[in-house]
Amino acid sequence: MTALPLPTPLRHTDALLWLAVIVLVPLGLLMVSSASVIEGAGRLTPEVRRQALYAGGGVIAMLAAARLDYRWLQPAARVLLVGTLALLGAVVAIGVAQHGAQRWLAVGEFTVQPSEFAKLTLAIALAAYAADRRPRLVAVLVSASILGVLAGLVLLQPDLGTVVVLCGAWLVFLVAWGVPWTLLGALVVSGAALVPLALAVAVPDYQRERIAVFLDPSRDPLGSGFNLRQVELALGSAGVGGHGLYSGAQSHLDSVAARSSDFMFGFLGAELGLVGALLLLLVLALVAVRGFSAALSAPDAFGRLLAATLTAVVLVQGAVNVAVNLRLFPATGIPLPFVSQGGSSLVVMLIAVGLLQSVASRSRSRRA
Amino acid sequence: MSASPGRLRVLQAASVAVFALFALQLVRMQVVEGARYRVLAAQQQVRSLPVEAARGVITDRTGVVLARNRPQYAIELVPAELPTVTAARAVVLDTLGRLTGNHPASLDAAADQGMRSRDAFAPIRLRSGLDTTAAIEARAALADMPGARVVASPLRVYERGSELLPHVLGSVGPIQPAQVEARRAQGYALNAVIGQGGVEATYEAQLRGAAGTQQIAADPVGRELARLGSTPARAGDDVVLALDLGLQRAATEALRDGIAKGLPPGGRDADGKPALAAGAAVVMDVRSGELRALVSLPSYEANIFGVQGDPRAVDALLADPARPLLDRAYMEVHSPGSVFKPIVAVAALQEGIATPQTRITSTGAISIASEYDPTVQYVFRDWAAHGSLDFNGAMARSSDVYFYELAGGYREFAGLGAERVARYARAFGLGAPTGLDLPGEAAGLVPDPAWKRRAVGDAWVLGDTYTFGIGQGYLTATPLQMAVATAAIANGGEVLQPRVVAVTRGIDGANATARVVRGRVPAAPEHLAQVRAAMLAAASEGGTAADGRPAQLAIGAKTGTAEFGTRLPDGSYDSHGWFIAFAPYEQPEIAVVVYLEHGVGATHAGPVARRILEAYFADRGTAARATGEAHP
Repeated sequence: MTALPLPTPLRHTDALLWLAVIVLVPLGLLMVSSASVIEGAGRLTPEVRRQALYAGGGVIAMLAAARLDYRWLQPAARVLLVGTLALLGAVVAIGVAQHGAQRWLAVGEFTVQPSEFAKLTLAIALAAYAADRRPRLVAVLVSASILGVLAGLVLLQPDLGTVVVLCGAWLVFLVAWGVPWTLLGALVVSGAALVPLALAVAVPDYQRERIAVFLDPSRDPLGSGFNLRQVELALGSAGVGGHGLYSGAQSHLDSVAARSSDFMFGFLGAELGLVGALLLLLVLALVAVRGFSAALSAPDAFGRLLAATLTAVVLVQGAVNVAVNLRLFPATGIPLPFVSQGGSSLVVMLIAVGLLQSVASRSRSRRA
Repeated sequence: MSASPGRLRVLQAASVAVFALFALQLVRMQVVEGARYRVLAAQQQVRSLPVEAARGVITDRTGVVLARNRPQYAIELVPAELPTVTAARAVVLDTLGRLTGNHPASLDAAADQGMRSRDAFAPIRLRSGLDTTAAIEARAALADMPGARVVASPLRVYERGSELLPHVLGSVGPIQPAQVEARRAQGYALNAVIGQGGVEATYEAQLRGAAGTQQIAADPVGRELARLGSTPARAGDDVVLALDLGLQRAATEALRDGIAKGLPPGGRDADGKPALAAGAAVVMDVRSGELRALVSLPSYEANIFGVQGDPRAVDALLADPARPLLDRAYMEVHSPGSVFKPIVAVAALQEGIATPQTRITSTGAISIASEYDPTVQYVFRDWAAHGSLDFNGAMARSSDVYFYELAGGYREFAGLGAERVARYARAFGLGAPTGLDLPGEAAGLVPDPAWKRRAVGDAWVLGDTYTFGIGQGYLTATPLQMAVATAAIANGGEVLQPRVVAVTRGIDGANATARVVRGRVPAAPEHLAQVRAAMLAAASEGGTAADGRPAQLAIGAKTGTAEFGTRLPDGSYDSHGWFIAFAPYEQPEIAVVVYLEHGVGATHAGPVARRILEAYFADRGTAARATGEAHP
């Protein structure tokens, strides 16, 4: 790779990864504007102003993370894990409830969603633990317990979308760690067997019902199931060129819920058509490929696992959102990374890219 | 060493593969199946269903509930929502047939016809009147059956008063075919129930409220996918009648007795046909125009009409020669007879034809020569030879000769003439509908020479003026018109618009119906006072109307016995019995009019009026409290 004429602190970083962010963040602001615009009102909606503020803060955080020597994170992992668990506990105890779930902490005018930051913490903690260990059964089970405490507290909120992302990222981490395929297979099978048992024993009735509706939208046919169907129709009928930006108010997506972050990929595909949706898939694939490349070129095991797990977080989150909207996965409330409305999610995704750049910039090949 | 490069390359490849899969699926949806989705999206529809508002309640002036809504349910078929697959369709139609007692084949035919109609989503009502238990069972049986549904369809029920004032209440029923277009323009659903007759019809706009809407997203098959939003229905206003159910009942009972007593011997009229046992009574507040009682007999049961009515009872009513559906208080006109005399009296005083001192002698008749053949003498009889009477005495004894002469003159005595009598009659509100807030009001007729030439083809003769002067001949009026005229005499000359509704009460508050003065009688107050004094004399000892006066109460009154039909062998005729009164004499509150199809004013109608007056004044304390005495 050739070095770009970047300012010194950012020299040796991955240009294609920057390109992905440069495409995704403005595209996200555009889509948030289009999804939140009300007929007859301006396009600079309160939602898009807010999202732009988070984007600005997120870019600063991303650049700071890129400058940071990621190796400092390994000794800080324990503190980060404890701090994140404390925040998650605080959410359950004193958090702000919205839309039937308690996921937010109020910080002045802003709300913070600690479960988003749990994704970063998981990557850092898993990488820090596994960096010096071989992927034997006991070590895998310890990594599973790190996942367990984080995901367990998130589950209490309940925020199953994030739990799915955390579990998916953990599985990718196990692959990257080098866990034997046989052990991986056994883990997946036993995990699949354990989930219903855990639901039956450990989760109270009302939450089980929430989870059931969450997993099976046909239980709530007039809610997300209807929206999913609306999105499918809008996406399918959009064709190559799409219905056009800001066409949502006149089209079938004239229902607020259908414009929510969970259906962002479908919304984007409806407005921008095949061209726009393929571009988004391409850019997301680019992030995944360059993220794993950063892992490949990392100078140490911690960097390698950190980059792989962070990439996994972005990859799993993006893939699930896209898969739901393409009717390849049951409806799950997961935002489309970088694009969906949601401040904490955007900031966390940008920090993840920053950390990937931090790993990439210290690769042996670039520092030659 | 952990994290082998091989594993990372596998992950890299896997993520590329996943996104490639997504790209393929995207192409499949947007390109390969794009056309199909475009068709589906175009067919996707948002429908707006009406949510019917609860119809307002009708009460009497004291708050007694007369009409309300009873919850009940109906089974409906929505043609466009029926499955098109034969087997599934058969299941739905069989179930519907079993629940509604229809043959599935006929339901299929009805659904087909519905599909070809203007709105294939317009529901077809198969069975109504299900109570809550039956509705729950039907809902269970029809669950998950597209095209079949159980909807709330409240039943209008008339409780107390259903036999006492069915004419006033009216009924509700389906929109008649002739009304469909106009009602649709007003936003009614095709299967809506609207007021038919009575207060239900006149106050339809207030009672109806405003239907809300429910926005439904439906897929191309018509299945409901989501409830998108709704505007709530606004309940109809309650209607408070000016009528007092207690007084209505007392008046009905008194009238029923009076009708029975007034029937001719043997119950047959001069033509040998069964005499109609019919009559009417009106009680009107002379200050406000509010009606306190409005009775017509024979009556009927209000609940036989409507969605869950009794068609056989309705057929029987329509075939009944007594025509119970007719409200005799305001839909039918009759000769008023002598109750018209106070109007002639007002005209004579105001026009200077007579003074209180004017004396005329009645020898039992006057005779005049024919205008065409002087050898022919026409005799105009009085009902008795009264001798010499002054103004009050003539009213008290109801001398016909006195009023022949006031109207038509005799020898050197100049009368009013037909034109002037007609002008005063119209000024008192006769010859035109009173503006009552009920449908179907009759106008009556005030004749004059121009009218006779036009309508009968004959010239007006002096004899016509004579019979006009005693309220017979061509003159006709409804009992309600006579109540308005009596009220005008009592209240100093204001011709008020009568009304059965006092207040409509909605969420925005109560609206009292307006007191409307339709005209003023062109007569000086002292002349009206003189006529009231004459009517006081009529209702006093020795007057013809004395039988109508309750003890301890001074009233002004006048009797009327209007001959009609075929002459009997003894030279007499069948007669309508009339009685008009206002009370109390000093500060009049109400006017009372009693009309009997058969009877004599003094002996039959008078006692009916007396019982009504007794009921009103016995109850006046409570009535005044109930209304807060709104009208001073």
